[in-house]
Amino acid sequence: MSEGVILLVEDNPDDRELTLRAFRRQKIANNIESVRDGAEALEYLFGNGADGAPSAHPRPQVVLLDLKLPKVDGLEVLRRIRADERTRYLPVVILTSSNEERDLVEGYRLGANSYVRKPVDFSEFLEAARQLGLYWLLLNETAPDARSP
Amino acid sequence: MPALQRQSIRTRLALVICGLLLALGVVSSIAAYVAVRHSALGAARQRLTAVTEQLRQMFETSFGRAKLQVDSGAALPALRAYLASAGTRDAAPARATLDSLGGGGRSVLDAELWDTAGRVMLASRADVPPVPAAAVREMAETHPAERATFVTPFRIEGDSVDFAVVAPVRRGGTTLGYLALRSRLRGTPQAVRQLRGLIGSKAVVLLGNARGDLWTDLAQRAAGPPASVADNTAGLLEYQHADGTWRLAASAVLAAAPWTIVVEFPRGPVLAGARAVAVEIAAITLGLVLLGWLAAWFVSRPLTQPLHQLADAAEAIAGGDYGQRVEVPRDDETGTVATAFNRMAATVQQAHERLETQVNERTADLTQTVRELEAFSYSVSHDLRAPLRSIDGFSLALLEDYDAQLNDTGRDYLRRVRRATQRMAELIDDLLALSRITRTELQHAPVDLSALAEEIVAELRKAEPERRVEAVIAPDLTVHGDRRLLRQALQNLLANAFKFTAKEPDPTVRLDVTSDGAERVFFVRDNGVGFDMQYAGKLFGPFQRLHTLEEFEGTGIGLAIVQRVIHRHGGRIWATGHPGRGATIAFTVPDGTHNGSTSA
Repeated sequence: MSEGVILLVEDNPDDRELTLRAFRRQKIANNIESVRDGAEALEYLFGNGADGAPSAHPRPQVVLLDLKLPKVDGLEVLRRIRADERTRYLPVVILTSSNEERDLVEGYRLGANSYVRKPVDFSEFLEAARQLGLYWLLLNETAPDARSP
Repeated sequence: MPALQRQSIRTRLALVICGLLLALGVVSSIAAYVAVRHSALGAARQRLTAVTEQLRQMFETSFGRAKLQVDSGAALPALRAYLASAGTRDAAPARATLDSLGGGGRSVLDAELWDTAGRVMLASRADVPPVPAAAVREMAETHPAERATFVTPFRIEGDSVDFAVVAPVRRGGTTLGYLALRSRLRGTPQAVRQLRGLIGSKAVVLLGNARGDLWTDLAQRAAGPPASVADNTAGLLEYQHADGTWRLAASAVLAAAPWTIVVEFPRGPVLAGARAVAVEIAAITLGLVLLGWLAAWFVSRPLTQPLHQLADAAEAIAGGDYGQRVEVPRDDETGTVATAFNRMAATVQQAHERLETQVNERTADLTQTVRELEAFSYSVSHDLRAPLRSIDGFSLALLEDYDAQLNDTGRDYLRRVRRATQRMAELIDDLLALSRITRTELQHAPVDLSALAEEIVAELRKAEPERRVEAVIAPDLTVHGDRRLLRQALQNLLANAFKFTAKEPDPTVRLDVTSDGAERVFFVRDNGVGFDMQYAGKLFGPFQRLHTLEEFEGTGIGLAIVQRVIHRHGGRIWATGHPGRGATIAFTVPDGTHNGSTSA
């Protein structure tokens, strides 16, 4: 499980690249899977379509979720994650460039575990990512039912 | 009249009607009283006159008979002979004659013979006190016809009233003396009853002498009418009796005797009828006035009802019920007023509805504008930030990952790129903060500015641990307002104070309050670089800066935010300062509930 996957949901290629770079610099060994919108995120987590076919991908250890996404927005993705038995305790960290309090409040209401405001000062963001990495990844702590045998 | 005009129309109408009825009642009462009094007095006069005349005739008849009796007695020879002898002859025959005369009637006291000087020569009864000679003379003298038979004035002796009928005794043409039959004037109970029956129980019969200074009620001396009215024998006498009551009386002078008859009657019972009529009419008037009041009250109801309806409707319209109308049931003046009122109310209603529609439209426009503004802010926050993040992030990546390939100039350029993007990010943040203050709904609550300031100062010190800034914060500065916005304002003010004292050796920041009587003025003061007062007006404009970025960093939004916060609380804000001697930003936060509008 130390090789757990981090799912990054981010539509902006620059932000994606900078985030990946930050993780690389922190020498985080986990696989980082990135998807570009909410629909892809849901497909990654829950499989294809309404037939309930299980996802082909391993369950990620943490989801980094941007709020402003094409097709299905971040808050909707979060709601679906919390509504599903399989992902109810999956750690979700909201990435936001928004100052709008209502986004954060709504995010916490829907069950986000933490949030990181995407700072323009990238060194600040690295610090946030590092702390995130320490907490969620380096210590390898996840909710009990997220562990699979 | 002003007092009357303050009354309602109904009251005034009732008062006027009642006043008229009352006046009518009073006039008719007086007229009736006068008329009834006049006729009552007339009837009383007729009756008194008739009674007096009857009495006079009674007396005349009775005196006539008495005179005839005395006349015939005076012709008797025994008396003549005795008088002719001047009392020298034997008195027996004369005495016998006198006895027969004196016993003729029960009321006759005595029969006497008088000489011409009035001396009593002979009397039938010795036990009757003689009339003093002077009195006889007086009696005789008072009668002008000396030779004729006459009746003397009456005399009052204790409880006895007596008089005499006197006839001269003559021989040839010479008067020898007089025959006098003295009688007592005393009514028997039967006679008194008869008299009462004739004149009425309350009436009094008085006899007076010719001079009017001696009066008797037939039994004893009595008070007569005043001399002034007693002379007036023609008509009805009206005078105040000695006992204070008013009397009506009629008088008659007797021909057969020097007497006057007066029949007196108390005026009260006579006028009682007139008074009773007046009282009756007054009572009827009072009843009419009451009836008039009721009638006026009910008659005026339909008159004043429309007025009350109008007043109620006007009140309702004033209270906001613009649909209020009054009924127009009549074609008279009130109907005209009601129609005009309804027309006016309709106009007011239309105007009000038009205004309401306009307000609603404007509000909708404003709401739309605010919504667009919010969407814009959200986009700015999200979309403008994203490219900045890329510029900054990749500049940093270049600096870190490709350091070896860059020379110093390249690295300097990249650092400038990064500073510019960071500054742009600050500007975006501050702009959004400014617009958010305008949009936020105020949440009013008591706010402890002192506690907030302590918190903020602690944060500022933590951010610059190497600096030693003295902060003097007055305790218990409490206002009523929005805690979050006031915190932001204080944050900006204190951060400014920290920032602009950076080059002072002993930086001091102060939060305090002064009171100019009517209101409390809070202020944040520092001993920093200060400013020139000629720029005081520009301090609060967005993006207005008095220093270069090299001197002090910042976007120039901070004081603009503070000003908007204070204005939204209904307060005022101003700045004072001197270059090099610090700055003071003063502001007020009015008490009470200033409802925050959406304007800044």
